Amino acid sequence: MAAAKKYVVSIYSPLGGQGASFIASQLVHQLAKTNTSCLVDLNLDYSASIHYLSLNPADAFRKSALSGGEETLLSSFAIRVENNYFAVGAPLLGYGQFAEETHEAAKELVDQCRAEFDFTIIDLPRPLHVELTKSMLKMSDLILVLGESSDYSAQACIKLKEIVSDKSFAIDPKKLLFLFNKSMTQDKSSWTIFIWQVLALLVVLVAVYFLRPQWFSNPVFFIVGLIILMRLAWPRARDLSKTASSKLAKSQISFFHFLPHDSKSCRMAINQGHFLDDNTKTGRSLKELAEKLKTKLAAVQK
Amino acid sequence: MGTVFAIFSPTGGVGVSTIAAHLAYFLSETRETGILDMIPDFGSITDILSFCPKPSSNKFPLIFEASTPILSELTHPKRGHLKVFVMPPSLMAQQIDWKAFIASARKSFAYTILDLPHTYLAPELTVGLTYADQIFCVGEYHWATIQSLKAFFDGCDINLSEKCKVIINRSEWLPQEVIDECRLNLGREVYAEIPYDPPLEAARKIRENSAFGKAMKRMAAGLIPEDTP
Repeated sequence: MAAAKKYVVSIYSPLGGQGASFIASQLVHQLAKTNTSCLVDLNLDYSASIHYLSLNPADAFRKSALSGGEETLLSSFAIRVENNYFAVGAPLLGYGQFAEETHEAAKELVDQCRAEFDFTIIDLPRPLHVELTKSMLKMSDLILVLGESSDYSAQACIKLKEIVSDKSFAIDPKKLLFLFNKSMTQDKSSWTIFIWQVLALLVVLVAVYFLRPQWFSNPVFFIVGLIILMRLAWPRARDLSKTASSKLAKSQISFFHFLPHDSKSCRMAINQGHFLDDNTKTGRSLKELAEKLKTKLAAVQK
Repeated sequence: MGTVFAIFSPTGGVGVSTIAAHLAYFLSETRETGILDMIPDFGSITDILSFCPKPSSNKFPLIFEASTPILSELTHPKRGHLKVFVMPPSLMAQQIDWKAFIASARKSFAYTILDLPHTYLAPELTVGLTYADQIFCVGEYHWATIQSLKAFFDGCDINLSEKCKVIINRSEWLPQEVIDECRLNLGREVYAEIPYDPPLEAARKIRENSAFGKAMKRMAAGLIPEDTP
């Protein structure tokens, strides 16, 4: 199905390390199955999403900035990742080597992308007071905001909505779509530790049974044991607390999509630079997200 | 005159704010310590320290000048020696003269910790790196993080490079060969390694008795001169 209009979608994460670059690189793979799509990584100091794909972004951004607004065939210098998948990013630069490319150049680049590709996905840097981030948020048809299953992340989502709703920012908060990423939050290794902790507790119980059997008749012993067990399990309760959920509801934030826990396949994909298969949990979920996004974009156009 | 330590990482999500908060917390055991959260809008220092400074965001213009008495008002309730400054909303933050602010903090506190943003686009990063006495660059044993740390050092001039020390936060279990390869690729001495401590991920709080907390306590002790009472 060809897209009727060409769209620009930004991926923004208020906090670091939540997987925005990874999701951006994988989402474009799903979109590119049916339409020409381009990933623009505007983290100009470190285009992680491009590096996740084991690509060398070369000088794509600089070349675009140098084109000076002339008609350029963007796909000739964007990296062709797959058949319909293109990527533009900045080369890995060190501190001091980084000459701030103007947001004007970025705007021009995204305009070119919009003209050339059905979908342009922008991976944005975090600081909101940087003109580059602000102008890209304004240019986007939709903004995918990434959250994680922690109260702190929920607070950040609420704060972001407040900031962009401010008159000085002038971004329609309706453009924000909240994406809830649980793919890496529940670490399997933590569960292994938990199982070991429970086993250790059982060993203690057996030892007490043989050495101090009279303790078992004391209800305090059971209460203390239960508290210890709950304490051990506590760090793994990763779902949003009721307080955070109610705060989100109060701020009228509903999540557009959930990415399930799937740390094994995600780690593999990150470390080996490949795309998630559709038979993995996150792969399937990203496919679903791509379809939802297309529908939403079509609705926005109407 | 006090010492200014900057905590920085070129990649996000490696534990910069957690390390900054713990360091400030342990340094404040002995001397007046200030922590400046320089990450606009989404800084997490107050969250980790379970403390919201009294001058709320609508009163922030009051502390743009950062005079000693005003900085002293931002006392942590449980730690008399710890003062916490949070960056005001990003649009207002542009009005802050960070150079003067850091100079004022240096005069007011024995130790000042700067929690820096990770992108080179943020102007306050350059100020923080320039005026800090020591910079702790936080990384993980992950190829992308090591690559970005290396690139950061490649771009530093000699003065900046000499101030930098690498801290590795071992937030996940890794096979020894991966660790060895990362160490080799980094090509720089690791100043401190923080052990793997998964429960800390779930609760962004100061945990004095966790493996992470103990490692930070040791590190803070190493930063305090021996002749300090």
